[in-house]
Amino acid sequence: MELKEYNACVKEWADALFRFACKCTGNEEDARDVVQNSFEVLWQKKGDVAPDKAKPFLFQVAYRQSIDNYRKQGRMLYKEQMDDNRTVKPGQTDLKRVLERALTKLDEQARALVLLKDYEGYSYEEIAQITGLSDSQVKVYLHRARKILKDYLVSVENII
Amino acid sequence: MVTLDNYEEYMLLEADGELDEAGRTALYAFLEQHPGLRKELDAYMSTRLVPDTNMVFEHKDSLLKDEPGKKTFSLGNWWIYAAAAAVVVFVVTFMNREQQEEIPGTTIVKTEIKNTAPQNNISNNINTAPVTDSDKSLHSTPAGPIAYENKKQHQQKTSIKAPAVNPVVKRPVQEESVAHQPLPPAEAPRKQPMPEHKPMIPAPEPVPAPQEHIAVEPPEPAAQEPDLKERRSLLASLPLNEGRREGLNELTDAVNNKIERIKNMTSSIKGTDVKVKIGNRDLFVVKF
Repeated sequence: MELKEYNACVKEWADALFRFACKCTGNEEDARDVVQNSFEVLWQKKGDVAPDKAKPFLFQVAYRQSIDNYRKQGRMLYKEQMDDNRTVKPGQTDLKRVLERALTKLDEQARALVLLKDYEGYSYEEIAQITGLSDSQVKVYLHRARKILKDYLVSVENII
Repeated sequence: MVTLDNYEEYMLLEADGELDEAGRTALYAFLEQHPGLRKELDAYMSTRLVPDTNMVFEHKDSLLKDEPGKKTFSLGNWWIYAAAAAVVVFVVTFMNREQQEEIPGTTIVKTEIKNTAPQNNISNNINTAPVTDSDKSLHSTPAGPIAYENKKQHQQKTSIKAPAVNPVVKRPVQEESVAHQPLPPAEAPRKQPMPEHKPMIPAPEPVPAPQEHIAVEPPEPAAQEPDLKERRSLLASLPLNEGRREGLNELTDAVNNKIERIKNMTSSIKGTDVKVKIGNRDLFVVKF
């Protein structure tokens, strides 16, 4: 990967990586650090990373850092922040708000899988490469996460 | 084949976007038969997250790396810098010129016109401006007298033992005697003939016309000051324009500076010992 291609990666993937990191860590400050660090690692490894593999590489680094970061800080902090600040924003639809809350019900790995699937449209195989899981594990974890999200949506709908 | 036992798996695959065309057709055919399950599929489909495109990373510039040669300078700024540089250069040049005009000549004679024979000139130069072997090796641009001296030294080596007239020959005793003797005035050696050199150098006839010759002398004590002034006045009387005279002055200054530096180096080398040791054992000592 050349310098020009690296800069193109920054322009193309920085926003997506930031959104992913933001949802994974639940904290914008941490997400910025994750993005900064991910691109720094990409720059250091640019000789080994082909341009078409740059995006999965970035998400792989960001995924690992987000998981580590989340595990260090603890789940409660993420939940509190998500519930208090990030979930209720003007202009957001009810469904979106409920989904944001539903995400907090997932563990960090399941949340990352759903984000990689829905935000980036990765296949099971690609997610497996990013996360280091097997294809079948990804499928099982994702389905389990979907059921949790669906159950939460249905329960909220029933309450409302 | 979609059944009541596996329809949920199909719905999850559909929500993940992993269901192929055949599977999708089978799923929707199954839902046609079981419309009550349609709501469950909608619930699964609702779990799909949509990225918030308003959320952007605002510090992309900090991630970008500079491409070589990409930086540009505005033309306006460039001209400002160029004008400032021109003013600085002008001021520095002007100040240098002023300083050169304020400081009159140097301690060294610039030019000299002599009606005597060239041989006398040469002998005078040799005696008044002694140059050692080390001097010669260090001197990158030998002047006329030094070149002549090289030749003379070579002749001395081949000829019979010459008397100690030339201080170029390195002998400790001789050096001492030369060092302790006060430097003779510039005119003195001119009167002393050098018979041993006469056979080697054909004596040219005296040239009646004035001959311009640049004589380089080391800085002499105050005893030579009147002579220097006299020579400066001679230089001033030369029919040279100001630019040439200035150039001549600069040239002699440069030569004199170089000679001065060489002298300093020679004096610093003298008395220096270079000792080669391996461990505590001395191999050899080189004395200068």
